[in-house]
Amino acid sequence: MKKHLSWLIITLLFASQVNAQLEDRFGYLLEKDLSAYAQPLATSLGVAFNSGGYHDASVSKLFGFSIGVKGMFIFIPDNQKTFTPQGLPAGYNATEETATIYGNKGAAYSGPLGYLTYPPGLDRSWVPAAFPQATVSVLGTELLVRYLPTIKVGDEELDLFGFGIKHSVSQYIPLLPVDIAVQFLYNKLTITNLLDVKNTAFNIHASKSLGVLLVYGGLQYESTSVDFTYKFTDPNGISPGQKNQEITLSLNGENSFRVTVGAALKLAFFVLNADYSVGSQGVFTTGFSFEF
Amino acid sequence: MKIINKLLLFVALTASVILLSSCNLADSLTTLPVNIPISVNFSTGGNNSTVAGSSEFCLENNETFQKYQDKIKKIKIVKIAIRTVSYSPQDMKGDLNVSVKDDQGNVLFSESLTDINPGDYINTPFEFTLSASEIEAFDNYLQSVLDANRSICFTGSLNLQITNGNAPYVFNGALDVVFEAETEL
Repeated sequence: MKKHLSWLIITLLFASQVNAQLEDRFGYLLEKDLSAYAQPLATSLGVAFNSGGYHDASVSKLFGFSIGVKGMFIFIPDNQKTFTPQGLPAGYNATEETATIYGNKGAAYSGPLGYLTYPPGLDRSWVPAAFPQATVSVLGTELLVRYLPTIKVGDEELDLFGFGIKHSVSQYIPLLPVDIAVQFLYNKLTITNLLDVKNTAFNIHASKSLGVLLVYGGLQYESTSVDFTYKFTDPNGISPGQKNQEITLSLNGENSFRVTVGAALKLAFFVLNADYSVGSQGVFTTGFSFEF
Repeated sequence: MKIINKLLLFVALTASVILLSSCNLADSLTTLPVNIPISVNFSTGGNNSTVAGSSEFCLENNETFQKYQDKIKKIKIVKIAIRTVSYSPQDMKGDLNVSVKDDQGNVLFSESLTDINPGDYINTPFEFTLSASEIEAFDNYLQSVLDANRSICFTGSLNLQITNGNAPYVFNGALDVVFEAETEL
């Protein structure tokens, strides 16, 4: 049951045994190095939750409803897999780079106190993510909701809530050949005693219907802030005074702007869509929804 | 209709890749490669031109090893270095031999450095390049001991043949070793 639950949560939020994994890895590092180590994760979380907000700029003027699932494939660039430590004690030199959370091996640096080791990464070139979402639209305005009931992850609890508001711009411009809309998104993910993620995004997007096929694209400004909470376990013994201290580190994702292009297939009440967004981390998003 | 079929196939393939990568991610989230650094100190000295010392060390005494002991599936050597802690006289020079034996007395590693100045290795320990046979010897011993559920212990030895400087001689050094343990969470 636990395995199935873990798999479910990975599929939903790439966060099953993340709790133990992150705690064990983060425990090696003080704030300065953890910032660099965890930065790509902060960006991925932002990239994931700021994706999948739209696939159609047309908003119903009467009443519309949709429910579906968005799945993402976030690509991690090689330059986000390693970093040069800044927190080495005096007498140590960072002779090589070490892994970020998505890198491979943690480095070991030789110096006057013996070897200091850094944590390994997850050795990932991409990470998947998925979450459910529903929309209700009325009079050219659409409300989007993302929600998961509280899920137990080990001793901790996971909560997800997000919403978006979209408004049709093209309804005010007669004879426009494409639909245009603007959208605001807000998402919040919390895993107690581990991380707290807040995302906001604002986009303008356009779509053009070609029979059952719909092509769309958009520009989006976005921001992500992540608070990581962890216990510094000091396996290297470099700072005994801070051992077992609980540390909270705030990071901003490097995701700030993206360009998206995609296409959707409308088959009666079912819609399949796929798009790709170019940004700090590229993301391929697919969706399946029931709409009317 | 052909376009629709191709799009459906594309979406199905994409969904499969995402599911497969999720399973792959699950694997990477259940294993954790842990670096275990260990330092063994030696205190040697005397009036003879050869000073020597040895010291036994066991992974069980390491806090990181203790934390993951029950979850370790595999363990291997990564790095080994010799470090000077203190020495006298200051103009001391010599030829240094460092060796590591397993708990049965078999030599796993033995390297010599000639005409060294111990002061060079205080801030910058000398990192040995492990040969393929040395890595194999270490890893075979580590795996056999792990499989037999015995304590993983070594004996580190150093021998310094002094070629410059006047007695009495003091050489305090340390052998720094990094192991990597593959753990299953």
